[in-house]
Amino acid sequence: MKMFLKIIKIILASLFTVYIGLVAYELVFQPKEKRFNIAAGVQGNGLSQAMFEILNWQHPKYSEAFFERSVPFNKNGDYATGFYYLNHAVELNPLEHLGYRGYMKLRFLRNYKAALADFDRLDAMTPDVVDAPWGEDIDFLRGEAYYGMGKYAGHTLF
Amino acid sequence: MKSKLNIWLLVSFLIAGMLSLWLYIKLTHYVGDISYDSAIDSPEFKVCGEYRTSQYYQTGTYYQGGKKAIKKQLWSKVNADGLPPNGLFTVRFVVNCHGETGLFRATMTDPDVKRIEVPQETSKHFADLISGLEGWVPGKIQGEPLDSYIQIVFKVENGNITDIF
Repeated sequence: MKMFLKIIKIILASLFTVYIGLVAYELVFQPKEKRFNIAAGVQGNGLSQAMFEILNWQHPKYSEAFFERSVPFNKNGDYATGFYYLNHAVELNPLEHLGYRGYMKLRFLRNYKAALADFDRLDAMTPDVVDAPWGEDIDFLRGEAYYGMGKYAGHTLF
Repeated sequence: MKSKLNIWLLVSFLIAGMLSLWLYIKLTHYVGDISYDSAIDSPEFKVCGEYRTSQYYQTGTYYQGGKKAIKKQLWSKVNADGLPPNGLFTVRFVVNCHGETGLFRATMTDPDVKRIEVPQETSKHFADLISGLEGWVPGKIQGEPLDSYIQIVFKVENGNITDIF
C-alpha cells in the first residue's frame, strides 16, 4: 500500500512538473516568432496580452511585438494604451510602423495633421518607393488627410 | 526521501494550481471588457447571453444610416461643456441582441493621445444622449443576433465638438 501511494505521488508530481514545464516553454522559452504568432492569433485575449508583455520584457527591441500588442486597444477605443505601444514600435522601427500609425491617426483618430506628418516622414525615408500603408496608396491617404484639414486644392503633385 | 517526495508533490501542485488559475483569468478576459457596475449602470439594461460579448467588427453591429446618421442625430444635442478643450472623447458601450444600449464607459485622450480625466457627470450626460439613439442593428453570428461592444468618438477642438464618428 505504501509503495502504491508512493508511486501515485511520483506520477502526480511528475505530471504537475511536466505541465509547469510545458506552460513555461510556451510562454517564455520557445522562439519569439512562434510566441508572437500564438499571441497574435488570439488578439485581444488576456493571455495574448500577457505573452506580448513577456516578449516586450525579454526582447525590448522587437518592434513587431509592441505593434501587435497595440492593435486590440486601438480597435476597442483605448487609444491611450494603444498609442503608447504603437509609438514605441515606431521609435524602434519607423520604416516598418510609421505607415500603420499614420493610417490609424487618419482613420481612427481623424487627426489629419499628425497623420500627414507620419506619411510625409515615411515617404521621405523611401524616395524610390510609393508606399502602401495598410494596403492603401500613400498619396491617396495624404490626399485624404489634406481633405480632412479642409485643403481641397493644390495638393495633386504627388 | 519521503519528505522530499511530499515537498515535490506539494510545491508542483501549488505552482500548477496557481498557473492554471492565472491562465483561466487571462483566457477569460479581453481587452476592452466592461463589467456591470451597480453604481453607474442602469439595472434595466440586460445583456442577452452568458456568452462573451463580441466586438462590433466581429459581428457587423451597425446603426441604421451609418455613422453619418449618428452624427446627424447627436450634432444638435451635444456640446463640449465639461470636457477638456482638445482631444478625443470616446464612449464605449454594449449593443445587446435587441439593439438596446447600456454599460457606457467614457475615456478621453489629449492631442498627444495621453489619457485625461473627464468629470463623471459629463460622461453620464453623453451616455444619456447616446441612449436616445434608437436605430441600432445588433451584430449577428450565423444569423443569430447577439451582444457586442461598440464605441462613438467625439472630436473636441478649441472647446467645440468638431466631429462625431
